[in-house]
Amino acid sequence: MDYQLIAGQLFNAASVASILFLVAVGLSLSFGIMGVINMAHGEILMLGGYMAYLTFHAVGGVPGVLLALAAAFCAAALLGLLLELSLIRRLAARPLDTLLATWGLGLILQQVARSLFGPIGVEVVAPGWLGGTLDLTGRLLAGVSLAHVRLFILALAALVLGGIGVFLAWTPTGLLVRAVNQDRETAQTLGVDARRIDRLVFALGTGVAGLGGAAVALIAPVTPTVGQSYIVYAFMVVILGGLGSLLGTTVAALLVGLFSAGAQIFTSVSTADVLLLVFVIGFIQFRPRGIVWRRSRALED
Amino acid sequence: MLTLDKVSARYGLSPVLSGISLSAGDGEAIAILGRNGAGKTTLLRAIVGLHPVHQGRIVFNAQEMTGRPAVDRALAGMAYVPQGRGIFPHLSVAENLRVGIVARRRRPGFDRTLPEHIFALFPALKAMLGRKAGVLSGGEQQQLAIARALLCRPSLLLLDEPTEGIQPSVVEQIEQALQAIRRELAISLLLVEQYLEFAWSVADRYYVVQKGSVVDQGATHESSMHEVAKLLTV
Repeated sequence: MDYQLIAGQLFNAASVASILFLVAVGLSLSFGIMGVINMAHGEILMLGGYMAYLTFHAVGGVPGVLLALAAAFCAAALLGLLLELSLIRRLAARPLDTLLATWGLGLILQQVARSLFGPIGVEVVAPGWLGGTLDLTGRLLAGVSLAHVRLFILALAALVLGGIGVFLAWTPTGLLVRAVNQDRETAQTLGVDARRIDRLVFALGTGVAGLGGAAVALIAPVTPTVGQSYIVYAFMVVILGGLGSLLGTTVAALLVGLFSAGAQIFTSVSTADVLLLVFVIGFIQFRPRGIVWRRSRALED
Repeated sequence: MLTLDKVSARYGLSPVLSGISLSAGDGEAIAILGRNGAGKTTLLRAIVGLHPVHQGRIVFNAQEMTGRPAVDRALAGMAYVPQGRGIFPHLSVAENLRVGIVARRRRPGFDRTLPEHIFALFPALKAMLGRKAGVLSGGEQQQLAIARALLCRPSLLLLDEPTEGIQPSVVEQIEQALQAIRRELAISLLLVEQYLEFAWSVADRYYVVQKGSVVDQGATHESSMHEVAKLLTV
């Protein structure tokens, strides 16, 4: 058994999962609460990537990384807020129109990026301390090396997961988000301003996707179509995880990461993608509502 | 308190309510009676703002409510206990109770504590605060839904079939609670009910709705329940 290969692939799986989580969590939450599919979510990730690129150009070192993350989050959240106020709110009752309108917006954003930054990717030069590797020395794992930058992204995703978890479980606004998620009409009749919750969740979700974009920028060039390469997997994570579930999204991101990294041990990248799709299709035959789907008397009535 | 003036509503193109006028005074309890499909639930949903009104006006505490969103009506003092109870199944009982309070946390002078009188009305809830609301029995969920509505400090409580699918002993508790709510908290009630004896013992006045129109109305203590029952049998 080649433990090094397996350990390396497990680490890759976790790394892929952490980025997928950052992209998918916003999609899942706003899908769960508003029933809206935002096809421009990938381009919001792209925006985060370019923001990180621009910030790194201006500021370097540790403050540069933190500033890049903050800039990516804020710019993406702001764009999300504008998108919610201008487009999604007006089309909320028409899911197919929302799909088409946000897809169109995604194409426009891609073209804007192409005009501003050119069709070829821009490279972020990560600071030196992110460039190294952590080399393991255990008996079985000797020779496995973990890239600092990927460990950093893993920690970032864990921090975001913890932050959203605490927000939802422990804060007053988090309680209102959960209430709207479970029964929008009843929440409104209790005095909850569901539209305000929509805006908040949407902006938070797009902000986190922007963080995902900044994370991607640290490991690969940012191109106008970088969002496209993540969005399909992110949708798979959302479908697998169950709409609006933080736990489901986390587990599904890990599952997709593990599956594709695992399959890549035995086969090529593209065959692994095919197998992943087959796996997701098979899975939703048995659990159409995703991994996290709790029964309740009220829902069965 | 509440006045409906020739309110009409539709589902798509088919009319569900045609020109309903009714009123509820301060501290009054009103029963809306009618067969299945008469439009009772749509009427309540139109009043609380969950179903659009096509024609007519809704005035509540001297404020024009027609066309205003449900959240505005809730904050103006309407509380609603929907058919099927509408509890949040994955929130705990305590969290269910706190939603209305948290939603009003920035309104000046709003008390944020869970008041004890709620547990005096529904003692069973006190022992279940930590449990997920989805695992409660139907009767317990109904009590939770009423308690949750009361914590919004309403002046009008609208209930859609509070006795539906609930065992007789709990129905009695709910009846006593509704009477205490009127007596001690001076909250008006608007009740949609199929269980006529229950409606008669709670309400001061009744309206009978048929095919989206009011066909009979009166005071419960002046009218014969059996005469009204004839209007309701199929």
